[in-house]
Amino acid sequence: MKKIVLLMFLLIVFGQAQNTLTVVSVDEATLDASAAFWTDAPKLEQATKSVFPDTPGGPVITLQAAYDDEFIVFRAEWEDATETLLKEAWTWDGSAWTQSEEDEDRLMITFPIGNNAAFASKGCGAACHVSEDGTSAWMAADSEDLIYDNWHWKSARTNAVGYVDDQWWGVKGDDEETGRKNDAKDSGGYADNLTEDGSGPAFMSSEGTSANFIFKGKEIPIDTAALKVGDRIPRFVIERPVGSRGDVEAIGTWQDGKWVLVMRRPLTTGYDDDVEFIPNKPLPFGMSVLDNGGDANHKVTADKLVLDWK
Amino acid sequence: MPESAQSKTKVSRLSTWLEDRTGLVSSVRGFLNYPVPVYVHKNLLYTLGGLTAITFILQIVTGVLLVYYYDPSSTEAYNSVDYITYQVPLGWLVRGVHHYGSSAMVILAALHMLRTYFMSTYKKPRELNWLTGVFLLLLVFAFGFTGYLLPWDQKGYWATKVGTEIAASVPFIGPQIMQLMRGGAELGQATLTRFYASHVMLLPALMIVFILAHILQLRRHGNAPPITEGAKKNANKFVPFFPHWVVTDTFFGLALLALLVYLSWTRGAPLEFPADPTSSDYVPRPEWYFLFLFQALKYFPGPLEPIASVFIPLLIFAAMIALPFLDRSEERRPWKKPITSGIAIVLTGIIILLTILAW
Repeated sequence: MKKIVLLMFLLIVFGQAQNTLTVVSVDEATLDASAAFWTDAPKLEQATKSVFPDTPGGPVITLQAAYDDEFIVFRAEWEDATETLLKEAWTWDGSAWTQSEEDEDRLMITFPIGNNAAFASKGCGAACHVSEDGTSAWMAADSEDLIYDNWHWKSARTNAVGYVDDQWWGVKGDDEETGRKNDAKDSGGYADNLTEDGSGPAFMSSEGTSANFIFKGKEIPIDTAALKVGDRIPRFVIERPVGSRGDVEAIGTWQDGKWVLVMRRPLTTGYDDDVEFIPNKPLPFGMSVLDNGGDANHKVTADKLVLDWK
Repeated sequence: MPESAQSKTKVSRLSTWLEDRTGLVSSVRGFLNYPVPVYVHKNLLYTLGGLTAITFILQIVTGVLLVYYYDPSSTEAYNSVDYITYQVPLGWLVRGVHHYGSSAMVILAALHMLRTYFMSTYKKPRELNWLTGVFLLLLVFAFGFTGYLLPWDQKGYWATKVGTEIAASVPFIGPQIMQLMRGGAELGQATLTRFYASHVMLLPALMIVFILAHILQLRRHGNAPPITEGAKKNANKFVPFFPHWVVTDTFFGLALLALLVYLSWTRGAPLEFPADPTSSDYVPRPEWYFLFLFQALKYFPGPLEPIASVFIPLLIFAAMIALPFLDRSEERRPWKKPITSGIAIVLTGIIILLTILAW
């Protein structure tokens, strides 16, 4: 019964109406949130709702898009009272490390790869699954021939090195929590900053303990004798991946209680795990936003969204 | 002997050889030299029939090109149309011309029919010409109905689902008609196969037979005598079909093609998202030329639906069939025939109004 109720709720959440984002043609689709072409680019404003009943909704996301011969660029804007740059950071208490439960801010955009009838007519609800006991939900493809491209921007793990974590949804394996998988990469990406025994971080930034990020190549061993109580060390060593996983560029800026994010990718990448943008071909998509991450903070757009071209 | 004279002799000998064996040369010559009355040649309303035929040829040419890429399976039909539209070089143009060509054919055939009706050229001895025309108009609608399922997109799927359900509302034999159209209880591969076979084989074959019968009837009885005083003055003046009429039709045919290319370029042929039989919120809408019927159904809800879906269309069809046998007076001037002219004006007005209301 719980499962049915949650499923029905999800169907309502992943609503019925269709909203269109018009991608405008520009001379040069630059990765610049202040580019002049954004002034005239149509805006799609989407309210967000929680995927769980009796949970408040999230912010309104304003989305715009433009393209040139090579790239498509998106500009997203949403309110977020706090800029969260650390995810599950390590805190030194004078003798040991503790890990915070703090998560990061995120934005996800999902496109079906190839023609997908269910996603086009039902939106993200087509990929939403509910656990047997009805207490949890996850995104996954229903069959092997359905794949989704999932752009997963993360304020702590990807933004500082200028990319969106390019992932995909497939069928959920028995030992997996969701159907979400990572695109292939040749090198790079973020990695756990962890000692071998898992009791704390292995590195800190060469810029000191006040740094919110540890960039690959700038990590140095930690001298605990030099630490003060309350010092925080990021949980990840970050680097932009080389390969399909890192092919969506991003610049996210938080200011005055608002994130402004621009994301850019070539229209075609040649990778099987990436959606192909074909000018003039409408493409359904879905979107969600997370303030400090976690399922409870996962807010999705209610309408079926469509990318159209001008 | 000069070279040009030599080649002329060769052509002449080939022509004679062909004529001796087939009689084709004299038949073609007779067809091209057919005398067209000047009052017909000068009246652009008489180009409507030729333009409809030209549009049909365009549909055949673009249809054949589409068939090279189209995959008539319920799992791949959409992908193949998507491929034609967005990947095949000039595929968008071919599909666009085919799409807008179907609308052009409906408009031109309907206007041609109205011209024939108002000028009463269905009267003796041209009854069969009128009847073949009525069947040709039905075939044009059948082309439209079978064609828009083929992309297997939301619009085609749901419009066909509703269309076949309407057929099921025919008293007594409705369920059997629906079963015949769908090839099963639900829309699926069998439906697509049947619609595809009808669209690319049965209907074109019937169309060609009826067009030939239509043209042969026209050639046998010629154009109906003029009805206006001005035209009567030129009643005995003729021009040969070639080049006069051919040039006129070619000119307007090219203009029509330019319009279809323009529409394809600026608007593209629509392709909605792939058909989802589990979709719960899709509102089916037929092509514009069936909108009047779609709107009429709203005024006859529930058990009254067959009145709009079956009886009224059948009544109109029966009236069109019976027309040349009911209207047997000598009078052909529309302004002297208020009843027949009035019926057509009111009926056309209702169809246009219903179409606008449903738009």
